[in-house]
Amino acid sequence: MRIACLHLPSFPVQIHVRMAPHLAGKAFAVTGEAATQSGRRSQQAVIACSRAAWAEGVRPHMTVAQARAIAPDTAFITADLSLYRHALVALAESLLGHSVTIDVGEQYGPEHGARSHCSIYLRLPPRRRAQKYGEQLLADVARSGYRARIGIADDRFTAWAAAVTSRPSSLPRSDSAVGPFAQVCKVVARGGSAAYLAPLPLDLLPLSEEVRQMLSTLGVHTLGEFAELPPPTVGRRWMAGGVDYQKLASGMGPTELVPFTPSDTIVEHLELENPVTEIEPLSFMLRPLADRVCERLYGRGQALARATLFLIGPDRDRQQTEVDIHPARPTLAGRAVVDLIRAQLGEAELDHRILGLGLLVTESAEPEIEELDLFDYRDATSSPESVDVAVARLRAAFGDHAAGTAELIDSYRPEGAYRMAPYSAPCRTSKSGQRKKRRRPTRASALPHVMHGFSGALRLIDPPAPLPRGLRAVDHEGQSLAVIASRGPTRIEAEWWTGDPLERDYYEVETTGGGRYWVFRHLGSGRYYLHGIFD
Amino acid sequence: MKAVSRELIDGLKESLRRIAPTATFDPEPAAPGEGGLSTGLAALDQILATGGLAAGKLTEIAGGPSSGKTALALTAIASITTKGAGLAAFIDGRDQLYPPAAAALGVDLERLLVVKPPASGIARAAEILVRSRGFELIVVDLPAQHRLARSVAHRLRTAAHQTRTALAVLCNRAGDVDAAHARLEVRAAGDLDAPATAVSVRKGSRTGELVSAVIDLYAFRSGARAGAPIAPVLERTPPGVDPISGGVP
Repeated sequence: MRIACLHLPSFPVQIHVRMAPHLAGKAFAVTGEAATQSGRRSQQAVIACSRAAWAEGVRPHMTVAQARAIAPDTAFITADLSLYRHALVALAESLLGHSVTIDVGEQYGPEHGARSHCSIYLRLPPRRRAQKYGEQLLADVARSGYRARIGIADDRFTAWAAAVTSRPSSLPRSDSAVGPFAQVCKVVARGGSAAYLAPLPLDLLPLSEEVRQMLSTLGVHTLGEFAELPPPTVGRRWMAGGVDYQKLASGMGPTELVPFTPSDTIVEHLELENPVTEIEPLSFMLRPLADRVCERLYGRGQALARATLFLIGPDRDRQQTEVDIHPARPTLAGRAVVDLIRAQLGEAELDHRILGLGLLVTESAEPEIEELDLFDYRDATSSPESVDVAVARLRAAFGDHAAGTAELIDSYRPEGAYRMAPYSAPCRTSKSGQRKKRRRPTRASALPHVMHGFSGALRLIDPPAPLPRGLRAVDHEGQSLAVIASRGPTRIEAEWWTGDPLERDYYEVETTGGGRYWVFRHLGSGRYYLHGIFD
Repeated sequence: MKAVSRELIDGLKESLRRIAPTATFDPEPAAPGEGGLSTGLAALDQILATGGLAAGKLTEIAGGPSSGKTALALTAIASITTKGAGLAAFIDGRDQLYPPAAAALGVDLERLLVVKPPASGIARAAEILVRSRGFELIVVDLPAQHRLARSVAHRLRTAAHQTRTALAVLCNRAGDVDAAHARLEVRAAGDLDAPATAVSVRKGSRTGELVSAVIDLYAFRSGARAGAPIAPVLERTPPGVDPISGGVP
């Protein structure tokens, strides 16, 4: 089984640019306690630097004082390990669509120092062409806002070495301007790991400085030369932490991957360079935010069912506006999420400036499978997402309860025979051609008891309007209409076990002018009420 | 995966076209008129110029209390949501829509979006829905003593035309909706025991003249099979003759 190593050079730099896009193209370096090869933490040093800082001469492992002396205009950002760990996990989640076995290791964990680069290992699915797989992976990672290099080989070490050392074929080896930022996919042929590793420098092995110098003195400079050394005959072996370096150099390194299981809450953040006071400019920032969230959900095999957008002001605790998004059906389309947010935001008024955005997934659900129809006769321009957006706009304009669907309730009380519910997409046809089971009754058999046997379209007047003159006249819309005929009564007597028993005699009455009304007499008080109009 | 499936479907369609060049992929029979959504009332469809409520047009359905305008609109919604499995919306400007009654008339409530805006927001809600292109029929129930200004009606008419959405406005008096493409005047006929509705098509009829019919809208009772033939024509008046007064209006 083949292994792909996704190597993310200058990972902390990439994270900061991704979170604050205005840093792109600027000279800055991330500083912190860098991890040393021996595992001990060194003093404050440059962990990673941007391309502009690299061009000015800043390099990882320099002390902050050295870097300041070389490039005084460079900005320095303190490393945030939890942020990097969170971003690494988020990236791994979004890659779950590429492979079910992903190993992110213990990088940026609390007991580890910050590192310039990080690597994620993926097991290639069977029967996939490695080069095409790697290129697709690179493209998807780039869409998520990362630059990466990929190496594919039979074992972890060779894959990593291929990712780290490969360079674009069109670039000369002396082109230092590219530095660690080139995106390349290198595939090592099956069974060709030893041959590939042989000319590579010995520096790739995490040997101690003392051992390295000793080997150099002996004329061992490449991995191939190291692999050909006779195995030590005494107790000391070329290994550390259970890893045999000679096996690594021979292309027979470990192939095991520890599968990664996502468990964190899905949340993505974005910081703005300048405070924003209007909503319109935010639209441009929302798309990448929504796309990242959707990619992570896709990796988990889930879709967005409910989310909250945070508009964060200068005072994070007090100035924070929350916007709830509730698509009518679980969605994985970033554009649909943005449309919903825009519809919601379009009606909102901000009382503070915005310095950051956050999108938190509060509920996820299994995505609906799109059923394609051979006889696709619907208008191509109509889409479920457009209905969702329209509903979101109506809710934003007139309130959460302004738009919805009606659910019938089995009740004797006419006014209690339904309730309004949030709009949700209607059932779709399943693959077998059978409609899915309805979630709520809408058939005549489920109609309230009072509806059985009467005809016509009833408009309900709720609450019922008192009729001072009883069955002699109906007062409606400012008119008093004399009753000329009536039919009834139909008695409803129920809910006697509650504090508000239902005791009514219902009549259908006809008035002058042809109006037909639904009137009831409350048995307890003897008063008459207008409860509906047949129209 | 989605793209591959779509390619597969397109490929299948192409193969079928090669085998049977005359094959059509439209499972719905052609509408009697062009671009008409059936009202669910065959008698009414026959006299409407487009064979039903016109897609992309603004239709006014006017009638006083108990005239049957709500039943007519809900029957059309039932036809769309049940037979066509399309989506419809009802803007309940009077806050009087009774969903159990709509269900009794055959409306699939899952496919009906009910919107309850304030009176001042009715036109805006209608425009949002029309522009979404997601609904085949949108019914606007105007509050009593409320009319749609000409400028607003024109705006909605344009939006409906652009999105090919059928827009029907229920109002109390004929003429409350300026600039309507078609006007249906609905009046109560019959009595308490045998209620019926007279529908006069004053604009948008097949012949271009006043055409009327008296229809038993209430033949469709609860428990009836959805999609069953409904609304038999009780009486058909000759063109140009008002069904109630019996004379030329």
